[in-house]
Amino acid sequence: MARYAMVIDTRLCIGCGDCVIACKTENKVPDGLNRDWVLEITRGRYPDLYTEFRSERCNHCSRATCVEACPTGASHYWEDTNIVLVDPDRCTGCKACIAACPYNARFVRPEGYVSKCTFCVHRVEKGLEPACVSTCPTHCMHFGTLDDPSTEVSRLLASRKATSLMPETGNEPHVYYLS
Amino acid sequence: MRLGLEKYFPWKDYTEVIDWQLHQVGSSLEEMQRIGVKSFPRRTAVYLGKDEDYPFPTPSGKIELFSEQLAEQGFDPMPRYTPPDPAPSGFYHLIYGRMPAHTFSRTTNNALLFQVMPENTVWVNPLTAADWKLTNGDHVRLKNQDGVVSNRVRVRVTERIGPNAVFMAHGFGHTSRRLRLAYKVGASDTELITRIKMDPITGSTGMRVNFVTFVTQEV
Repeated sequence: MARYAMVIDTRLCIGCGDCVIACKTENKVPDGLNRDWVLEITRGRYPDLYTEFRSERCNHCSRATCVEACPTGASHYWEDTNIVLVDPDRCTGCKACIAACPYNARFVRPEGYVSKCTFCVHRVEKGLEPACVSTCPTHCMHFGTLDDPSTEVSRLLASRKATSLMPETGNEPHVYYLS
Repeated sequence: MRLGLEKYFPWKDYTEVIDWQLHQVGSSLEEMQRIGVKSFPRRTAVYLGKDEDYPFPTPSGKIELFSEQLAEQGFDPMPRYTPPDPAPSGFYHLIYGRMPAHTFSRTTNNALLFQVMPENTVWVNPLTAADWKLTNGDHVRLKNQDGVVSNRVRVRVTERIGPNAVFMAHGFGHTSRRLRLAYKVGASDTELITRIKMDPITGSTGMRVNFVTFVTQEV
């Protein structure tokens, strides 16, 4: 399985939400629903504070519980990669995947089928970056394959301290945060 | 022309003005209509070169931290810290600022950006919130030292502001009905800034010199 990853430098993120806007316009996400979102996390007591902005989305796990939970095969991996997609024609809207996702990344569209971040696979196919990555004004987001050690994401993960969200689930998530 | 100002407008119409203006920078209306964008090479360097001998317009030709010129004018020759006035009892320093989702006050009615940040909040330290029995999401109004009362605004309890101040994002609390999304959403910091302080040397104004208290009844 080829592994695509997103690496986000939380030390550069300013929490502007441009990734959210880029996604909504690129993927025509209905009002009130989001495929990505930005958390603001503050620890400590004034004035000794640690604040982090974190742009979150589907983690495109290579052992995705949502794919395992889907009874119809609508949730699937794209072309032997870790990119998890939903086939609207096979989705019955049963929401088993929503319960199975540890990241709350999925939602039901008004049409009745489940939707979520696709890593902008329609752009990746053309050799482009996902819309959120390409629009980020601080260039804190990076996208690429982990199978080649020379890619930007591979080099960042090799040289900087990185964490992923809830790796203890065994899902093998592939959105990484540099801190 | 109707105003009798012909001698100040020696052109036939405004296209002639634009053509004249473009000729001043080395182009013409005809050329710009044809190419749309024209780039000119820089005539001056963007940055100082390494080891370049650049004289600043000061007596020493260098950046002067201690300025004899300021001393001659009767000012402190060295920048001196002046602490802010303390807040009156029950009042808090009004600190305002920008949020990265919005640009000044112009984008709050943008439907997409409105979804990312629909309203501003007043940031309140947990100690202050406890004094006023405020919790996240409560509506309050702010009243400044001159009695100006703001539109209602939600409280955000956070450690990111100190106990002697409150913060709010600039650009909200619009009063134009035509701004259908942003109309009367959040509070305006600007209307609470009724006093300014002026730097005696540069004349630049400081606007974070106002104090506010909370109005918690009938909001």
